[in-house]
Amino acid sequence: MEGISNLAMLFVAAAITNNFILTQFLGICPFLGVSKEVPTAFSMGLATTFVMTTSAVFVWVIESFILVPLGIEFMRYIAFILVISSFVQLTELFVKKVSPPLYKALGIFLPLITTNCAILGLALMISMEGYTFIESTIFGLGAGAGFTLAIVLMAGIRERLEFADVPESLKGAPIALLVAGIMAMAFSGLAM
Amino acid sequence: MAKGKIEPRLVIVLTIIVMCSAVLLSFVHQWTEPIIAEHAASADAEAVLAVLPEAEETEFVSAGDLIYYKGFDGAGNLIGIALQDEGRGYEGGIRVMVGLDMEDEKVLGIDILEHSETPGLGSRITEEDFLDQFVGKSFSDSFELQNDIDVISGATASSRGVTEAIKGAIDKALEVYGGGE
Amino acid sequence: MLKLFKDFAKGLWKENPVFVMLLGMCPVLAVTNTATTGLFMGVATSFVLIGAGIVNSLLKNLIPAEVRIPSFIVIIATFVTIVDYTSRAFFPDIAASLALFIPLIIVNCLILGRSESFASKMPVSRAIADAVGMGVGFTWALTFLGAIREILGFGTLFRGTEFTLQVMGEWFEPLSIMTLPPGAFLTLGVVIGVFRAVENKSLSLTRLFGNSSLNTAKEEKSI
Repeated sequence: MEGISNLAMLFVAAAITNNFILTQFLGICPFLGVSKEVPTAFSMGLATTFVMTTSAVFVWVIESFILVPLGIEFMRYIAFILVISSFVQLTELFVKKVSPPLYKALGIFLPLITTNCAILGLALMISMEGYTFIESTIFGLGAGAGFTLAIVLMAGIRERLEFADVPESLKGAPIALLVAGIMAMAFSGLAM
Repeated sequence: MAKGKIEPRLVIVLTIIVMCSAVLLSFVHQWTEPIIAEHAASADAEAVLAVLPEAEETEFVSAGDLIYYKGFDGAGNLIGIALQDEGRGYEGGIRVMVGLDMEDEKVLGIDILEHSETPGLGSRITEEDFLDQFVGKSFSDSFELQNDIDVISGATASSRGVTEAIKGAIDKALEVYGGGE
Repeated sequence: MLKLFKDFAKGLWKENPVFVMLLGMCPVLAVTNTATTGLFMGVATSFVLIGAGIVNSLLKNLIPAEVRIPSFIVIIATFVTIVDYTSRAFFPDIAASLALFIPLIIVNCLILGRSESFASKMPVSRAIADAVGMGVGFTWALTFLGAIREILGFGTLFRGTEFTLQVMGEWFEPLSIMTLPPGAFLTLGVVIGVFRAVENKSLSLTRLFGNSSLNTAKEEKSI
């Protein structure tokens, strides 16, 4: 019983109170880049969640069965980034097959998941915290859910902002950052 | 990125690059590892003296699973012991060195060895204002956040992590000294 | 020579990686709560940028196009691991406070972007000039943001070093929100806004965004 409630806590912490984007600044590029429309943002969130969860599993396997037993922890970063980029490639092929319109909409942002620091950040946290296999999976899922939540909320606000009278120099990224600042206040309120 | 059929040439190039970096990194690793380990060890030794301010000599003790340091004053009298424990903060584990006076059952000093809390926020657990409040606390105090312990505003989880680590260290120490030595 | 200088100078202002190209936003937000961490992060990133730029430019004819990006990532990761170990060995305190964000230099889009769009096409000398310029541009931007947040959030400059300056007087009540995540977003948003306003004034004939910032920052277009 306690095990389950611990896992639930881990999920909520990863998704809300330690939200990757708004409290840990992981994954800012797609957060600013793919948050103009809600449907695209949602798809991006799902693709990222998929890559996060699968990489979390594989990173755990690599960490526990290859890096640590062989004592080659200094290859950790290279191993992780290679795992992540392979998964991004797989996701790309998968999306292309299943839904060509979605593939078009996500455009150049799919390969960019590789350089999404949220995913490498997740991998590094798993190895630093020494999570178990199940914890790693839940942590990956939670982080992905939190990423999706933040990016969809942001897209919802930005759809409205289209109609607002924003000063010329604040258009685009600056106003998005200011909005993110206010969202971050709300999220850090949840953490106390 | 590579698409379509995979040519052996591509695999070979990538493998060569990975091998080269592995060789290079193993050298860097061998070169820096002892320095990093030394930092950790000297940080430990410094921390022991920091949490047992009156100690002049320390002795490393390993009793079963528990590793701790005994601190003696100039005349060779036992002042207290120092041991580590870990609590869970906001971002991850917080490793704390705690100095304890086992006779008067008081906390003598606290030092944060390792943490990964948010810089500028949770990382304020390393500031003296926060740590000094634990000095002189009795083992029987409640260590309850807000009531007994002042929390760093905006960093409840980090403050709780430190408090947990201190309580954990006290419990471990009492187990060893429980029967009286 | 003039060409080299141009390659170097564009990173400082006109194509500043942070304020104009909006690259590498994660560390820009995460490690700028003090000027110290901002500066250190800038230097560490510059080292990787320059190292990876040189190697990638030298190897540009040896690496087949299909595996160029994976190879670049491996090379970048190698340099980052070197930075990680050496900073833990020689600057343990700052390294500890940057924690996760040193390894995350690997996925800083600035580095991959410059390697892919510049170093892989240019001779070594130009690649170096470009990397140094971008590195300096990134470093000053991070230090500048860190300084603003540190002065407002702590009232000091370069905390945690021997050169700590007390900027604000006794009367100053630190605005701790500046050191928290919201402060990072708000500061960067305002600074970019001001940067653009200044640019607009000085280039009132050129349309906004009309400068040459589009070559690497594909993301920029959709922002």
